[in-house]
Amino acid sequence: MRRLPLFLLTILFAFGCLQAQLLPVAEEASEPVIKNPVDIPEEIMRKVDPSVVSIQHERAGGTGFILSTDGYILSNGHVVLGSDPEQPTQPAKRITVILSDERKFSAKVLGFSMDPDVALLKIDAPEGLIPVEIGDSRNASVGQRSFAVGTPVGLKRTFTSGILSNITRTDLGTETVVFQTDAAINSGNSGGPLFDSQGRVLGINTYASRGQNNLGFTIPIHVAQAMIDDLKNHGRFIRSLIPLYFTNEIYDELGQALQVDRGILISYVMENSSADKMGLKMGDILIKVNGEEVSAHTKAELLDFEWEMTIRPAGEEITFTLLRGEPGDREEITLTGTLEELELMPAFNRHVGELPEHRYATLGLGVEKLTDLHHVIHQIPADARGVFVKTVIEGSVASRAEIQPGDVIDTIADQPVESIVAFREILDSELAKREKAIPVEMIRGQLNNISAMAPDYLMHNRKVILVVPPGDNPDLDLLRRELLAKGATVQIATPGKVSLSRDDALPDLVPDLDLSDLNAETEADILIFTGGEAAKAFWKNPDIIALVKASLENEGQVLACIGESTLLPVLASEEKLKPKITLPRDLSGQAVMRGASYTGKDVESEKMLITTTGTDRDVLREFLQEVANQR
Amino acid sequence: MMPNTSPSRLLFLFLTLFLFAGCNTPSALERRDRRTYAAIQRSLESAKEAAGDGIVFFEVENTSNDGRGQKTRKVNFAGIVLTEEGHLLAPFNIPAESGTRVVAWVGERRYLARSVKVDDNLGMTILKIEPLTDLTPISLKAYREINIGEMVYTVISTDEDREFEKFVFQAFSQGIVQGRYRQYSLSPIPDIARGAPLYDSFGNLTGLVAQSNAWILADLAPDIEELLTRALNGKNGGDKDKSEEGWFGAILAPINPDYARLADLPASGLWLTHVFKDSAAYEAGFRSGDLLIELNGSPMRMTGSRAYRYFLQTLRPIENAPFSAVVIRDGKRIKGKGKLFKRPEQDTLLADDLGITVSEIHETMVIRFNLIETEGVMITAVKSGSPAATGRTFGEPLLRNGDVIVSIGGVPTPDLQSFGEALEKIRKEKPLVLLVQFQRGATTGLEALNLRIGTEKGDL
Repeated sequence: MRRLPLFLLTILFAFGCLQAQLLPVAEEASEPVIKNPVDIPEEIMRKVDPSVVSIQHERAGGTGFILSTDGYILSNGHVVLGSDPEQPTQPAKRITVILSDERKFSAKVLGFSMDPDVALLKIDAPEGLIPVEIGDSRNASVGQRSFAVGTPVGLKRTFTSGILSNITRTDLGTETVVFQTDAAINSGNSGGPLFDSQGRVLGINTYASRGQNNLGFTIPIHVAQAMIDDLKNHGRFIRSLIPLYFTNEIYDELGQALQVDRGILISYVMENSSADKMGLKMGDILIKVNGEEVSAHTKAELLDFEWEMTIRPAGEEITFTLLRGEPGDREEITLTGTLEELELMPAFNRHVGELPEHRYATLGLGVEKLTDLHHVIHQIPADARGVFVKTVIEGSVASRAEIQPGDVIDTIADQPVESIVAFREILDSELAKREKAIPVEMIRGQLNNISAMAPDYLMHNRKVILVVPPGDNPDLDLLRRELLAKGATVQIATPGKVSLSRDDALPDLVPDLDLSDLNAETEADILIFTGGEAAKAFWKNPDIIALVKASLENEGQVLACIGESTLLPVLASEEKLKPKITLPRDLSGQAVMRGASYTGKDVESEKMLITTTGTDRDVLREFLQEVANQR
Repeated sequence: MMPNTSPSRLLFLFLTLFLFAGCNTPSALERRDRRTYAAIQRSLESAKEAAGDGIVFFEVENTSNDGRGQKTRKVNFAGIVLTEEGHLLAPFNIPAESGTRVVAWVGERRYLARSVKVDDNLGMTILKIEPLTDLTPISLKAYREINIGEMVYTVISTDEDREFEKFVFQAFSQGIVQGRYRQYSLSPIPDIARGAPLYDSFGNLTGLVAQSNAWILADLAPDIEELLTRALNGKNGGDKDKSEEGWFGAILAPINPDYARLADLPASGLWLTHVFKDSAAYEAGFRSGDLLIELNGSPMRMTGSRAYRYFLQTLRPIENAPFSAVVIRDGKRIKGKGKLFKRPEQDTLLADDLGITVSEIHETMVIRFNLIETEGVMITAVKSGSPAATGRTFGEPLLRNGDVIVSIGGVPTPDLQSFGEALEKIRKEKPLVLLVQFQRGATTGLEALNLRIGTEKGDL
């Protein structure tokens, strides 16, 4: 009863508004009709709602949308980005996709890129996935109504609406043009769709201008579409180009000065690059690609041109028609080249980089491959060869040697460093010899510096045997190099002495021992069993169990187990295992059933038994520190 | 120098002890205490007497405006009188800047002091006041080095607010802090005494109070004398006189101690990482990659950044100052000597019609800015609202600081003169747009400036 007057008032008010709005239109019927903003029909809302998903992981989250009934989902690269600076292409580990009906699925990131800010995820196709309808973002227009759906600042499902404010935004430093909308976009909206008034996707919402009102930015959906195949098939977006030249749009003044009215200016050609070898020269004006006219008067046109080149397949032959010569006296020339896949990129602008870092945390030094782009970004002399210093930890051995991030290490122990492989081989061999000081030469700007790293070798005189299951061992490389840097004598034992592959094109490791060589009498201060799925094979190997049992009984030997191998001491003890242990969560049940004390900590250390879940690099390094502390 | 123990003092001491002994019969302990007390009293008096009217109480007022209003910061410290004509020594860098007012109290008189000569490497300033009568300077020629554990005394004078009271502080030396200017490590002395003279128990000058330590006068006195000479002979009103600065002409980096041990090199050397071609170091025969191990007759000392400080303090970088040095090159000792040059200055040119200031490129800039292109002129300033500053996007100028211009309007500009000539040509021809080719970092670039921007003609 009490609601009735309010309800009446609302009706009257709405009627008044309607009249007020209708009147001017009726009066100016002969003028162009300006449509009133109308509600987006309910059926459109109902149509798009089930296609929008929420994405959550261990660090943050965002929004995404369903691309196909078999479970492909699009979102932003920055929504799924992981936290491992040594592997910047690694996504977050535990990603959950929550559908509109609140069903939850764990998702796999198939590939992502930070610029364009796009990620492709996959969930195991459950029944009833409703994909979005893709709109025509190439023909979007400013003023067009648009609405966003997402989970801003952690709020569930929020619809916000506006118009496309700009469709050629180029001044954010992005690789492609981006759309701008005044539909409210907040953090958490990231990765969500921007729909047109018919509920078709125009783009992926990505950034909002902080501290400003209604400045939201959206990656046009056609940009993301061009990347999907690469992300699906190669795990990353592959740019193809003729490396390495830069272009400039021919704006009014530049056209006047150069006396041309169309084309694209080649403003830089890297010496000895493929572009240089193809014959491109600074000052050339590109007018045709494969016989078709090309021209850019604005930055947006230039970015569109560059993007169209980038998404062509690598290996494709390409013909450039260029104008060359002085203004007023130019000749037309034709050059042919082959598009190449762009090498893995270092970090710059919005890119977090794609190069793996080889970090010796014990030395406080991390290096990555020196690429052509490094030379351009960091102004490294063209003839400099070596590895690029990405990380120097304060107070570390490397920092005491005055090595700085941005340096190029070109010599170690008086041997030239031509590649990451050479750097690793020389450094590892010096560490294995436990050299008191390892001379290092660095290029810094145009200067050469010489210094020496003096490792602390905390594990000097400690003999370590790494027991490794066959197959891929993601942790092996890190364990080996950190142990070497700590001064331990490292031997690797694996069944059948098969070679052990490492990441990043490093040569395979040849094990020192066969597992059958190991027994209770084997002299070692520390036995480390590495983890990984393959380590489960150890559980049923009676020789391994016997070895672990002997080690548990040997008071002079440290037994250390990672991940799946942490079950070994539980299996090897006939009675309840006395020292506390930690394990990966999915193994904890088995351990507890057998009476072990499971703590769930990242690293557990008691009575010469050290166990770790070994879930990431930091945890492995904490584990190694604990191993090193045992005497 | 011998302790100041005159026969009359001994007699006084003897009589005092005798009189006390006569009054009652103190214990041995009391007698020892009294002797100590008396000795300290005598030392305090000696210090006061030696300092005389040669001590200064400084009050430096620094007024700055941080946008929210004026702020005044006041600092008090001590100093000494160096000449009868009113040259004073203050233990800080006090450049002659607007907003800084230095008041010096000498005796019971208040003077305004002006900065005459600042020495960065000493961290000291010679100031000048205009006294009505001759002052009584403290001579730095006679000094004594004290031993660890010895008691020292410092005297400060004060201002009107404190009724010109003189305070004496006692401390003892705990050790030596090494460096080009060694310091006594002292038991605590109040900060206000910084700059005051330091005396031993017998009134002999031994040092000057520094922050929590005291400079050893034996190391410092010759350089203060030299600074005073320069202040007396120099131009009037100078402060940190750039024109006097000497230039060795090398980029230096301390040798890493671990590398030194490994390569069997001295642990206190400085690498000449780069020797500039038109420098004193180059003329003396030194080359990039040499390791400097001796300077002006003594071996280099200290490691890390302190080695660099030691180098500057030993070199005394003043134009024309003679130097000699020994370097190690390919395992051999190489000697060289010469006189320091004047620090090179680059000519600049303001191209107002373009909205940029350009500088000729000296080798020092090539290294400092890591310039890849050296045949050109470097932009040092871009004027906002000018053709060079107005790009397609707000905040992204067409030309930027650090760009090296290699040609304008198609005319190469390898140096400032050719740039000036090209600019003259443009001014005559008055083109509407101007093509500028430049090097930015590792890459080349081409932009066209709209020369009507920033003019009052409008009609862009």
